[in-house]
Amino acid sequence: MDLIDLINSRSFLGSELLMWLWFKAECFDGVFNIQGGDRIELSFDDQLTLEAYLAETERNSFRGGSPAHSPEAKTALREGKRVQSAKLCIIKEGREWTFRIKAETLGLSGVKIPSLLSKEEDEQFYERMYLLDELEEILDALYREFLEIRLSTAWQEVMLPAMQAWIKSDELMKPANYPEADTLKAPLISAKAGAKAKAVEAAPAE
Amino acid sequence: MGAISGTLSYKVFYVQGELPADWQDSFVQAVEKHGFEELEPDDDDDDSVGWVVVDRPLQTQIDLHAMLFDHFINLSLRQDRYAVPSGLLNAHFEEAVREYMLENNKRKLSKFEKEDIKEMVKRRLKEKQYPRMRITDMSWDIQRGQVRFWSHSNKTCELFQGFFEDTFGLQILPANPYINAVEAGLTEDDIEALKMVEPSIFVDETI
Repeated sequence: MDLIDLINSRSFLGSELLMWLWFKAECFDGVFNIQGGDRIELSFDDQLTLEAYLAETERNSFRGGSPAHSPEAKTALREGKRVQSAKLCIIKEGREWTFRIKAETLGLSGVKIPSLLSKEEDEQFYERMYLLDELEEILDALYREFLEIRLSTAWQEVMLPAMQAWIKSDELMKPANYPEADTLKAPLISAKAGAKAKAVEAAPAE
Repeated sequence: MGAISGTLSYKVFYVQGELPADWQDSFVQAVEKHGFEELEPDDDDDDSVGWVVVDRPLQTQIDLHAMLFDHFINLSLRQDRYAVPSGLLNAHFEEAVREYMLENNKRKLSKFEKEDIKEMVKRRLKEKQYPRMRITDMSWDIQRGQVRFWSHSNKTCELFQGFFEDTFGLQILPANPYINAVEAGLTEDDIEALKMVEPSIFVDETI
């Protein structure tokens, strides 16, 4: 598979990342402990778009209020729609970023950064870039945490069933609904596939 | 706009490869070579693309001081375009054809005569207007090997990608779930697993 094929064929991971963030944010009331020991609060803000997989014409766009907590958004999930874009809010150490993120590209738009402290124009530029770096590092840490689970057998065995139950349920999720950390430590799916292939090779011919 | 002030909507690109040893000198020369050139009504092309100083779109002379901000290379991509509305062009063209036929006592014009008249009319209309200018900022963090480009338009981003690569001789890859995963420092085994995963079924419609 060439690079363009890989890029196009893995684009679904963006919407699965956002779905996982939505689920985990609900379970833990938005509190995330990210790699590196930092604690952040993440919430879904007042814009959310869900789209049917491979059918862009079937789309639900929600604006205003808290769409991630709305019955309509849950209904859209139950119809098989996935997050196409969302407006998120991240708070770290009292500083707040809001931004829209698009699932297909993980591109950011409309980013509002914490208030600048610098007065000089040059200093303001560096501060703007530093604050964007900080936001991107937080998103990278969340993406790495998601990928650790997603690329392992724990996704199919543990996390996906938990998310499927969340989609079916009308109850607000609690920490107990999120899989235990021990259950998420699992081998990569490639390791499992490799072991299976070796077992097949080693099996005596009938 | 974007790098210095204004809305923060941008696309991230990852730079592949290392900077050349003499990057400061070679990049200044490269940017100069790909600097913006003003459009003239007589030009055959209707558009012009090139680098200008960030936050100063009329400043086309770029030196190291103008583009290097500590470990950032900041430039703006300026795109100018003459946009003569087709309705206006056709109306003036038809008038010009009538005049020409009258003056030269002709009942019919050849294809080449019509083309010449059209070019002349278009040039006259271009002389009466300024080209439309579009400026998009770029900020390249050379320590992190990452470029921010202040546009999400597919067309503009594709243009930028090609223009960046032509200028600096370095490939850049746009951020997306696959590239971001690779850039996040996955091992080879992780990347193998990444190539194997299939979309999840969140709702089993058979039940």
